[in-house]
Amino acid sequence: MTVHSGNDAPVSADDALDRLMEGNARFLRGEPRFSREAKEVLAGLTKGQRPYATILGCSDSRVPPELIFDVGFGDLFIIRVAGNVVSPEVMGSLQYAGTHLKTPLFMVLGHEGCGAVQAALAAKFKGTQERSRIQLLLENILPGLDEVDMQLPTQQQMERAVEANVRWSMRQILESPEGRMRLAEGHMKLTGAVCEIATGRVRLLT
Amino acid sequence: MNKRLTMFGVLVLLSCAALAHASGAGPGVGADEALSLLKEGNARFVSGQMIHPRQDAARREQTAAGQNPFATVIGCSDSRDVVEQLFDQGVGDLFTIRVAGNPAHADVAGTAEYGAEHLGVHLLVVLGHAKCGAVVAAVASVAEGKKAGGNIDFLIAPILPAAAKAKHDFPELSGDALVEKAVTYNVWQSIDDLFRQSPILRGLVKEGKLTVVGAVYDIATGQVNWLGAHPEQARLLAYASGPDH
Repeated sequence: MTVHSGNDAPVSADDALDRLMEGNARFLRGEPRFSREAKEVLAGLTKGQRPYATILGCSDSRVPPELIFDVGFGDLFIIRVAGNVVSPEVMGSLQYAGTHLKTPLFMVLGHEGCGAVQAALAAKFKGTQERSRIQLLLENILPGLDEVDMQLPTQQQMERAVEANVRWSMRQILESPEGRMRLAEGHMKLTGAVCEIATGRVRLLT
Repeated sequence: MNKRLTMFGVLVLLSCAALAHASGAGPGVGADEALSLLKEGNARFVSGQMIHPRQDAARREQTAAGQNPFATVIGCSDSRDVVEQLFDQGVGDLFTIRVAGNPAHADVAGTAEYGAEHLGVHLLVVLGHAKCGAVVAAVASVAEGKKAGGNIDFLIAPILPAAAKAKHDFPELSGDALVEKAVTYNVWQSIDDLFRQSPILRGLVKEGKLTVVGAVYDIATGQVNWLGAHPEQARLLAYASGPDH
């Protein structure tokens, strides 16, 4: 199997996804390679960046995408906010990645045990109110949880909610004018994924 | 003899440091210790002596039940701004917020509040970086009246005041030199925006439970330069704005 290095050549969206999943396999085996790159790599990147994928993920300390996908400097354009929520500012970063960096692959990466999703579920089913700006974050998540069944056991409910939240962020990206345009051009692929926190395995949503 | 004693002392210190790293910083790490951990990690990165701590299966199992990061970092989306690598940290160590241009709009402020209030993180770092594309765009917008269009204007909006201030304070500068000033001002602007929006963060800082500092990362060398607290922090803490008011 070819091991890809980061910034060799522009790749297709499918190539980019293969690279990420190969990297996740190395992470799981405990054989990381590119995330071990030293600062020397940086010297070659001073003129600019050419990442091959953009990831919208969560701020949770257990899901740093560069480690989970075993990538190096210059490989991934990363947006991380609690609950991988989409807002106009997040859309701005995504649009920058689409129009300026032209990364072929976009991924929304949720994760098991997401505290923001859990807090949103508590707000939805128990009426818990958070203070200050945290509440605004939850309000970004709530519309995506409409179909999560209150009757489900807690763990299953969380699993569904995490997936629903990834799909909700994907939908907001797809329905934006820029998202529609890029997809229509056929250059961009948007995929959803969930990271299993205990194992580090990334599961693609179908 | 003295030299030997010194060497011995260094060895003892090093092994203590190694032990601390092996176990992970864990919960309840104070701001000073957290800052030291970040400085040590960046020194390892810059000198090419990274230890890549806490990235194995055992660490994933250990943190599966919950996270206890020792610092929150607000950085940029730039692919060269790999926060965990710059500070040579692992899984579960850093609560990391990244949006292009390290701004502090509502989602970022909410996420930072979550880190400080729910996770009990005592150190928050706003980390800018040299040659930041978002700052370059904001400076171009101020200097040349360029409009980016679409959602990119949302991205640039929080950075515009910093770009305008840099232009005002350094009228003789242009290009990279002006961007460099704007990068630092943008770090201060983000800290200002955090405090202006968040009674929670202001309260925690006043109680001595949270320290907020700025830093700028040189993408060519990997060196993180520490800026300390906002020069006008007392004024920022006196803000009365935010959703709880």
